[in-house]
Amino acid sequence: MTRLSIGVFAFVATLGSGVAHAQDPAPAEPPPAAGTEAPSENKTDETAAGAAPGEQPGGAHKPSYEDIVVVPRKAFLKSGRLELAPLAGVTLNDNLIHHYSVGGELNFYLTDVFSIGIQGQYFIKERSERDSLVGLQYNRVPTLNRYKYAGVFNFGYVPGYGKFTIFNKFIWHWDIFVSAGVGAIWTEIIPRIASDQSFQNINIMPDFGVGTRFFLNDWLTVNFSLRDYVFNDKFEPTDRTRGEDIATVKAGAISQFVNNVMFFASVGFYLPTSFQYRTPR
Amino acid sequence: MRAMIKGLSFAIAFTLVAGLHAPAPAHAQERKSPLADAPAVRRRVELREKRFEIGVGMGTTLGQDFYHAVMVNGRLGLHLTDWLALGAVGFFNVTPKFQTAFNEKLMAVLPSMMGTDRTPTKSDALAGMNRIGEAVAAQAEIIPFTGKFSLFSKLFMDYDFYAFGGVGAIDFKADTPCTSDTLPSCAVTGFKIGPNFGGGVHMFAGQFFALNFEVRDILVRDNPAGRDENGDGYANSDDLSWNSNIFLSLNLTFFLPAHPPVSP
Repeated sequence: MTRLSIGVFAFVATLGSGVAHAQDPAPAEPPPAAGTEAPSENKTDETAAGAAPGEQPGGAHKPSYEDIVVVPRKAFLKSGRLELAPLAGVTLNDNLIHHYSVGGELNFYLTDVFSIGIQGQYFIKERSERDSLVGLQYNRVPTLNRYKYAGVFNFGYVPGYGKFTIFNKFIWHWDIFVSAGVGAIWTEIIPRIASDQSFQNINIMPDFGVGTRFFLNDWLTVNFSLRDYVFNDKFEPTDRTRGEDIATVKAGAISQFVNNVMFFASVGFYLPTSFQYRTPR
Repeated sequence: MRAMIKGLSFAIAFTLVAGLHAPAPAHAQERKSPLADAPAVRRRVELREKRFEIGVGMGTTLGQDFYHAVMVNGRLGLHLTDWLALGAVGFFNVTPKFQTAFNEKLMAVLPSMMGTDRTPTKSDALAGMNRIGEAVAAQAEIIPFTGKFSLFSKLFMDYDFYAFGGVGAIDFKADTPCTSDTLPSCAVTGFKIGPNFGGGVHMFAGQFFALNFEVRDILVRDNPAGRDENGDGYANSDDLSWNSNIFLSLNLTFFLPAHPPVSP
């Protein structure tokens, strides 16, 4: 019976050691390439002296610290892809009337850094608290225009690219873009007397912008940008009389140069939804 | 005795077999990558942790009703960890007479002499308006995002983004001090305290020097026009309401000690 017990222990020990091997397999030695000698200490020295680390004399690749690159290739390629970006925006520099906008952008990337595109917006106005106080505090009614629609054709360029960590745990890639272009904006006067007729303007409008894009995956980005839309708008004349013909009112309109600075947030969807690297790391 | 040894042998053998076989697959499943708990960046220059920051720069207000303020500002920071700092800032207005376009247009349409209606004269309107003289703020800063970027693939800089919150105070000034709370124009002056919050970025040009850009809002109870707001005909403390005061500032900041350590 004692032998039996010893036999059981020996069997268990054999099983146990087998499991241990399964948990921690020894790395398999790669078979020597044809025409090369088996590695030896002397050969290792030769390799260090005459070949790059990770390269064996016969060309067979061995994992090396040099496989870990300090700056990996870009996480996101845009060249030849189309970006569809619904957007929302708000004016920043008008104390009397705020405009919120909804719209979209369509950009095609000719290269990874250069794009052409169009942007369209529909504006929603909101008169500010300061505007509402002007009448009470100064017995005056502000002369204001509302924006209706706008469309621009833009050129885009990506001068900067970066990555950041969040609490040194996760790495996120992003880039900086600038854009410039020209388009048109439709505006309409807000008559100081609400029952008066209004007129509309169509103004040529250059625009300039700068923004940043955060890459979420191969086809999705979140974008933030600041844009300045510059145009010469026409406002209701201050000497307008009751019952005056609207054509006469428009002829006497006051022209003024406007900088409409807006902040935008948008989500970019990229087509095709995937890309392939064409160069090694 | 034999039976006892036999039983004991079987018990030990069973226990060992069970012990070795049962947990083994579980151990195999629990294998983790040796990099699982590693930081995203190793051998990183610790640009913030346990460093003191001092900076000076220029700033401007954004969206003020009657007077823009271009400001000289200073900044102090104590970075307790890589992601947490305490900071203090101060602003001094160097353009106290810098009117906004709205103010200029208003002056163009207000009369010089009092008429028969309630329209104020230019001087009455100006007497009620206040402007920012100085502002100070203390804040806690959280710096969750740190990284580096390249510009034209030539210029490489480390940077961080941070958000902050704390308390701020604005010292309002006016040309005409208010002497009564039963006047139609009465400028709000003196220190007003309120919450201070915003965000900023450091862009490190080396390990010692950084460009710092901040956007902040100091919310205080104010009446920038110094005119009646609640319709009782008088400008007084009943007309105060919470107002945003947005500051944009650009600082040149220096970090001490000049040579930061490198993480493992």
